[in-house]
Amino acid sequence: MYNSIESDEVLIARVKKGDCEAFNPLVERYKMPLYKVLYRMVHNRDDAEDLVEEAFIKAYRAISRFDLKRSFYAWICRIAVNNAINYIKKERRAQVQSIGMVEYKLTAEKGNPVRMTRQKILTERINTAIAKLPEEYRIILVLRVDEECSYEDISSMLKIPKGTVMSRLARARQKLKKLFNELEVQEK
Amino acid sequence: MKCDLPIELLSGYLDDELSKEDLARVEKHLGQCAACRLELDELRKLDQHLRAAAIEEPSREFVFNLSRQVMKKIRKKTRVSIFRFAPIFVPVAVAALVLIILVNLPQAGKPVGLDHQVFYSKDKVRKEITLEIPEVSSGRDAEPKKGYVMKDEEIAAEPSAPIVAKSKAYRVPEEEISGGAGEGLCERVDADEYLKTVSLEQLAIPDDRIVRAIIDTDGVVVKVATGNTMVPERDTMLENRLQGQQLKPATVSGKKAQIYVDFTQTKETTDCTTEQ
Repeated sequence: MYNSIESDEVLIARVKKGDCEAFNPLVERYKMPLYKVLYRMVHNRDDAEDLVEEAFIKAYRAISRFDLKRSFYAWICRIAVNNAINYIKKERRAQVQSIGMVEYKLTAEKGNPVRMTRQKILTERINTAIAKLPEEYRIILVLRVDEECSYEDISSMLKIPKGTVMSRLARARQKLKKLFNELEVQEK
Repeated sequence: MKCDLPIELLSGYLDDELSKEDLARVEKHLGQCAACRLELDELRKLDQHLRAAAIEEPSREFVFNLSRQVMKKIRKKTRVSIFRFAPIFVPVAVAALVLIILVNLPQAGKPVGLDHQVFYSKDKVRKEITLEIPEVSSGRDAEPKKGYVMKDEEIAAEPSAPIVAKSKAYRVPEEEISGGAGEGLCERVDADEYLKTVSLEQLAIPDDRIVRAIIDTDGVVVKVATGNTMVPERDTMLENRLQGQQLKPATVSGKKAQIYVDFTQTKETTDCTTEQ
């Protein structure tokens, strides 16, 4: 068994030598951050969980190509995001359903002022706005704002120039602000 | 925002991703433009909302069993990881196959194929012919008498193998041998007259052997067959010694003829002829 204090590098080096059990602590360490990113992308718990599992398995299969000098989380995050992008392209229905589901939940709970605190209203509003964002904007916002990835990392993950990252992020923020404000007006 | 500052620079400023020149430009602009300060403040709040926005909690199954499920699938994949060697194994197998084909190519450079099959088929047929067991004489009844002369066509039809020739000789019907000239396939010659011309001592033919020979029109022994009285047995040394011996050419009706002579039965047959 491996304890949780061993570094990513040590564990990955052991996995590379054929000790697959050393991969277990890495799964435990990064499953929640990955879930968060993927949930933001697909807006569905079950899909996000499945995508996290797939990401770990794909990472294990590609572990021989991993450069120990790099960050494991950035590397597996890239695998997970690319996998999720492919998933979203295949299952565009899921995106529509999730938007519908978020809107339904927001409308249903809006009638209960006791339970709906201001923070909760804001959270639901931002989630709905994110869900309505075009896919390319949503992904880049999640990577930057949620995961605090650098422009360089995002450029590498999405295979787009750094300048495109900057301009796409700016447009994504403008679009999100517009959607957020529209929802606020609708709620009033 | 109603000024000339690109929104990308404001967004980059928020993310702290600007170059020194751009950073100085934005800071200078923000000091002068209230609208851009307001815009920056709204974007910052939006980011805070985004970070604070709760997400749906994952299932208990995910929280407690994900690593177990992942490890189970990984172990399964590790077990079947023999296919990881496919990229190496396949080229090696192909190379080995090509090598085998090249080694087995005939010298003419033709690939292994129909030609080889034909070759082996011919070889097989040849073997069958060589191994054919000649028909063994069942007794003296079938043996031709001395002085029996074969026609040229019969001699020409004789197979090259001595054993087969001997076997054919035994098959000559008695009636044809005993019949008169011009009857059937055979003609008679004066055996005694011919044998008088041949020095049997010189030929040193053993008494206990059946020795038959074909003598051509020039009197040369061209074929010799040997054996004992019951079962034909080859005596290669005797055959080699007799074959090629120059004897007196036989004549039939005044013409030189190729004849078949049974040297072994000379005395007995001569006696019988005398008696008849």
